[in-house]
Amino acid sequence: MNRDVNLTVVLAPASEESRASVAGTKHAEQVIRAHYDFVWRLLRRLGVAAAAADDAAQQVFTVYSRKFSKVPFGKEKTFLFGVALRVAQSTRRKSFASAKIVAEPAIDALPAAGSSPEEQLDAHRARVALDHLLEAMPFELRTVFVLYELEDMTMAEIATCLALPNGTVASRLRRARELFQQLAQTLRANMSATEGR
Amino acid sequence: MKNHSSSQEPERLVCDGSSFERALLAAGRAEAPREDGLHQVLATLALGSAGSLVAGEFVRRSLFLKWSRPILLGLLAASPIVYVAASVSLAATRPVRERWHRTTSTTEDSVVLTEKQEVAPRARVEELQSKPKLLQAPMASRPTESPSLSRENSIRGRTTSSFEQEIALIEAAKSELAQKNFFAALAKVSAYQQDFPRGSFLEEADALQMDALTMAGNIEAARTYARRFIALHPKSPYRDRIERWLVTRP
Repeated sequence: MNRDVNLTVVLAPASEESRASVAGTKHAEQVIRAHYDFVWRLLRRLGVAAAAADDAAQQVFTVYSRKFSKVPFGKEKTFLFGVALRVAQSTRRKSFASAKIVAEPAIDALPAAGSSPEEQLDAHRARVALDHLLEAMPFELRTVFVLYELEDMTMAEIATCLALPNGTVASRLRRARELFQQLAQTLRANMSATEGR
Repeated sequence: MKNHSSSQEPERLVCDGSSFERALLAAGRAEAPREDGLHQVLATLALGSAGSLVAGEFVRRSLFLKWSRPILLGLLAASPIVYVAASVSLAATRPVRERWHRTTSTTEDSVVLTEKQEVAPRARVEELQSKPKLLQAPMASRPTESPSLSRENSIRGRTTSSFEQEIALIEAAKSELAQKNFFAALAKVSAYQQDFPRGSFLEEADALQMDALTMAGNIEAARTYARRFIALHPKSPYRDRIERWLVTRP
């Protein structure tokens, strides 16, 4: 792969250290491949528009590439989560500040493999509705909710990621679920009322 | 789907919620990034800014380079003098016309580099993505400059104007592309985009990037860049060409 070639050039003196470094790069690549979807989806559910999600994910992994030697083995997901959280907040702030309309339909209009246009439309609507509900939640509740309900993380894992006591996570999750269910119920009622007209 | 529910952990809503809640959460879980996003990240790690950061990390960590850094810096500091000496030596042994041809020809430029490698390991350092800024101007502008100007820039380091540096990088990318050095061309384009985020030739750089990616066989990434290009530069003269290309490769 071209990356290996490039780094081999960089590390021309084939010392033990350089070989260890190349192994480190391979590990970094594995981490990126393993967690790319997680990071991208997390950014989306934390409010980054689809059109900006690729760039935001790129930012996350750029930070990781700078610091991967300092990230403890096995703690990569936690590290990536922390960076993704900051990138998501920063991206949201920027998009609010510039009031820039992101070309969401252009990206979403790209066909997804193996699904009919109707299914794509339904999925798109459901995602928009989900994001609408998540947007109405306070950010700290939203974060816990997304990690638990969408990313299947355990409460203990979430507590580690957020550096919070388990009790706080449990409390936030309970409040987040209640709020989500309440909001979903209201949205459902509004949609039914609109359809009935 | 994993379910970690235990006595403390509630059942997830995607299993336990109402049908409406389940539908929303299932849609959120099913959303996945396009595969070329991952490829772009990996490509950038190799060739772009992130790659240079990785390279920089390795450079910092490499014991060899840590020890050799003072020596390397000494050689770099001496390299303009060596270069001047080498040029003067060449001037004394070759006809003026031949000299001019050698320094303006891109193929011959590699010969000059080889000669320099013998006296100082500059060429190797310049292959680093994170090469010092000081080196970028003289190296990048060498193919388009006369020997005397090149010498002056080597000595003064940063005298080349930003505009000239831009042209030099773009020309270098074109030259690499013409020689089918796609990854080197991408590296030049990436360096340009990084150094000149508001440069005068951004459109050209983007177009070159697409060409290089296409020629390198990374059609998916090229297509993504093509779509982004059209969105970013709707009035670009390259737009028609890119749209035609997209039509042929939907």
